[in-house]
Amino acid sequence: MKLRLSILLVLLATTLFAQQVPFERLLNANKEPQNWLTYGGTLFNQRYSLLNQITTDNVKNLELQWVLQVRAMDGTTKFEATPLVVDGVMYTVKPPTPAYEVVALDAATGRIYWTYSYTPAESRTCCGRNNKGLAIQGDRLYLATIDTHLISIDAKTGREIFNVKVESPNTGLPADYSFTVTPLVVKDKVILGPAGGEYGIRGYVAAFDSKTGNEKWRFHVIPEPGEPGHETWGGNSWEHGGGSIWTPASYDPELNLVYWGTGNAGPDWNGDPRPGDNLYTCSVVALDADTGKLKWHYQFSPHDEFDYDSTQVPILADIEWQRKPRKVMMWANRNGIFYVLDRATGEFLLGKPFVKVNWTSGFDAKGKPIRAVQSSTSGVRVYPGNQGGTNWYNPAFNPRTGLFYVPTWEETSSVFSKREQEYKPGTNFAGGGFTADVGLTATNTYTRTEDEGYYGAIKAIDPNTGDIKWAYKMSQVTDSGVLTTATNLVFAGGREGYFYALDARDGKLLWKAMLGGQVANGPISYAVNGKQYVSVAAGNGLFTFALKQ
Amino acid sequence: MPFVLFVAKISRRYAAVGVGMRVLVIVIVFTGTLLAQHAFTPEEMAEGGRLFQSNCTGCHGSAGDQIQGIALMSGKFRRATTDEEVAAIIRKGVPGTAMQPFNFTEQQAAIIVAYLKSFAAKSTTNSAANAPNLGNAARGKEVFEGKGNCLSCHRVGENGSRVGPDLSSIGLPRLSGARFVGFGAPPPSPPTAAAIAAQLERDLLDPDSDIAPANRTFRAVLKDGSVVTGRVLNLDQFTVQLFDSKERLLTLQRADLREFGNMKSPMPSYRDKLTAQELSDLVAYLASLKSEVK
Repeated sequence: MKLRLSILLVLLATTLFAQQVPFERLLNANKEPQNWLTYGGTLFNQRYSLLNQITTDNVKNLELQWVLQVRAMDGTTKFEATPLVVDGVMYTVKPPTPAYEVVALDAATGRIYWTYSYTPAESRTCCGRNNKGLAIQGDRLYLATIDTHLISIDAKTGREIFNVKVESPNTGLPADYSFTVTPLVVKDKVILGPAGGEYGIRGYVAAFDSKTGNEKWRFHVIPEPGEPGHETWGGNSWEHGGGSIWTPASYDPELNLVYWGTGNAGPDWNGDPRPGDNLYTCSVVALDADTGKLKWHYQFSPHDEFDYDSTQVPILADIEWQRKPRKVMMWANRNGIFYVLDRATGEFLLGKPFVKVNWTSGFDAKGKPIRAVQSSTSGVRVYPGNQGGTNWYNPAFNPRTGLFYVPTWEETSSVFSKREQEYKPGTNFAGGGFTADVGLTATNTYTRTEDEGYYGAIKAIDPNTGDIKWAYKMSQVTDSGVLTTATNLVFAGGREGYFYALDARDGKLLWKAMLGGQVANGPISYAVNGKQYVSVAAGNGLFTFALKQ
Repeated sequence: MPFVLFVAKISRRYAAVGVGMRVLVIVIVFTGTLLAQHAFTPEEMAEGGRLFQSNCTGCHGSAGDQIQGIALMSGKFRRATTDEEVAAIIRKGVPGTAMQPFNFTEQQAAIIVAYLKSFAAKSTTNSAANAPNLGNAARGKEVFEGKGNCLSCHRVGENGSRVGPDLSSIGLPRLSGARFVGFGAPPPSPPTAAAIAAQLERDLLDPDSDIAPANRTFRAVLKDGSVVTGRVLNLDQFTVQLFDSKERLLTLQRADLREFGNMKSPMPSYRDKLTAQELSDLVAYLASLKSEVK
């Protein structure tokens, strides 16, 4: 009797308390546009919303619904997290200044259900204590922290389920490795990698059991002796060659491949100690999701000396490319070039500059760029500048317009200089430096006019040709991601603190709101009880808009 | 990772405005309480400057003032009072902030500190007031307030107009020219007294020669033909925030503008307006203006 009752209770529990977000829901995220289940909305990361309540005609009627205020950021830290929305509940995370605060809130009102807090140990980050956001699967949220912890949190209660430390610092100094990335959940694994490309790390992508946090596989971005690709490094340079991971990845279920962009080679500005192409830095790597085995790679910036991390969000699409159906990957790289690759094979299909570029003169027959500028001790001016033509802020792809939308930095350059530097744990390993004309974060006031260069734009690129269809120019540069919708809208923001709605077909400004802080995350759209919302972070707040009733 | 960078570069393209309108951004505060300085050779100081420019300017800027509330060349440090404490912060970082440990020896950290503090120290010894062949500051004040008519645009303390840059501390050393120095270039060193005087004289004779972006004068013509001039305090693609010639804080909608651009400095050249003696006296007076700037 007791046994039977137990069985009954278990059955009942399974029915009543079914897992919130089984992996099948992530695979089919495009079938539930009211939710936002991954960093880019789906595993293809197109950041394309099928919701159609907000249109080019009525977008001017958007009004603020609620604001989530978080404690102030410090230094160069920005509110970069993309929220998740699951059946009316929003989850997001405030960067650790000083503590991470993961919140679950009512996506319609902004009222908080629970808060989970974690204060990381001392950590080193080059460019702010940033975090790109959470991942969800089942009833669990996943947070990767700057002290290299992977934390699993109960999505219903905010209770910590596991908290595992991945890296152990061996220097007595704060760890060189840090996690700022949104993890990628594939089946029973949580996949991520470390930042730290300025500190002499050896980057990797690692998969952890989603139930326990135990490591299941690890792909080293830099091959060790005996592995293919190791010959692209001189001497012992591979040991501290960089290749960080700090932007989210994409997944193709048919190919069972995960796609990660990898960071700069180290030391950043001096390639002399690392003769060769320095695989697989500044590349995209396609890995088997179950084993971590490398299927193919494409290196965007061989032997990088200009900090051109290929840490952009890979956008996957099945499109008619030059009149043939093709499984493509679209990629606007920090090096200023827009690429289309075949994501099954890695074949180079197209590469075309989308901003001013002088580091390369073109491509050879295999799609390898021909380097036109070398680093020097006396300094060399390179376009685009150190922050690149674009960077980590997510682009978007709209299957309806067929256009790829990317935030860009226009007419930027840096003078790069190299110098000798020995690796020493716990310290910078950059091998030189660079000049630039604007800083990492927005300033309160800005007096540079557009004709003086260094301004931002949202650009629409035709993936068939690489041609720029339109550009919406801003006064300052932008760190905003882009959202596009089935109703021909593009949402993005900039450093001035504006949040814009543009016409996805021609870039015309349709609506704007001044949010008073720089937009440094990608907007999302979701719906609760049939009402469509658009959310974006700016400054120290998350702002949510909907149409006037 | 996106390493970063900074700096409002001063380009020759910028139209000029006038005396001291250039690098005002570099606020050098004389503390009057210089701490015990270790003696370093000029070569060591130059090496300190090179190390600073190579490693620190990414976040702090060439003038050490890019992070709000921190002015490394003021001689004052938020978290340290002694040179040794500053050097320790350079080597060990500040936990929980973007200030990370740097791979320097104690000697290297010490010469960086010495380099930073040389700016504050030289604001006394290198003060333009100590430059040779300067005129008489008291007479220069008379020129400033009388014949020169400088108060019609500039302010010193509580006197004068706010339309032009405030000159209350124009006698403090300023870095001139391009603010961001790459690795191949020699680091900027604090200007000598004679250089400060020469800079002031050049400002008086050729107000358009060098100007900080924030001090440029813009001219806007509205659709109705009315003209507004002033300094641009801020701008975006929709609006421009100006401090106009009537001391108004003004926002213009860019859609309402028929023309908008920077213009020549409204400041006249004093080349033919003052005698050599008056000019020398005026420079002496300007060089004596060293109020602490907040």
